[in-house]
Amino acid sequence: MKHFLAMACASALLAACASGPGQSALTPRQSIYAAQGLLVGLESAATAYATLPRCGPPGLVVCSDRTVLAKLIPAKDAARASVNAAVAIARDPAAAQDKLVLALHSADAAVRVLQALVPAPALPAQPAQVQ
Amino acid sequence: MGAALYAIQGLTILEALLQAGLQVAPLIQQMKATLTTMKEEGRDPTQAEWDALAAMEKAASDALDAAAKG
Repeated sequence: MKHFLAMACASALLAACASGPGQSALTPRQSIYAAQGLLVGLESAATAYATLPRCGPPGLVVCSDRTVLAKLIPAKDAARASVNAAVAIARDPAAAQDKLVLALHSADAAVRVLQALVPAPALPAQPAQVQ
Repeated sequence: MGAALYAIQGLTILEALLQAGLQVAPLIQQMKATLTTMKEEGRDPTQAEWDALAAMEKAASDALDAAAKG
């Protein structure tokens, strides 16, 4: 399994939180938004993987492993729960900054677990940067 | 004959993967553009932007669940 494409996708969005020369870092709300966007990308990549024929019959060049799928779905559900909880906090205009940051860290951790599991043969290889 | 079928199967699957990748790429570009705009404007996501992304996420999750059951 190659995870490098998923890593590139993660770099494109979550790493956008990092500040560069002359740039300001994303706010916690923007970062939570980016985490949810990354979740969509990972779910789409995982769907592409899941639509492959299941491994088993000899001669299949590209296939999806049932054991991988069995781990993907719970990880996806956990990531969704964490990200959606963070989004709910982010959408509250009165949410305290420390609560936002905690929610972001929780969502980020859950998305990274999913990211590590997605074989991601279908993600574009070119890492992107937020300008 | 067997080798030809083997190659056709591989190419068909690779084509499907490429198409899936092409579907994800616009999402990444859109997210980049949206985040860049937010940074430039110094604002957080609007309720409409949250709603739109939540709908996309729900659809992506449902598609994954369906594909995994298939």
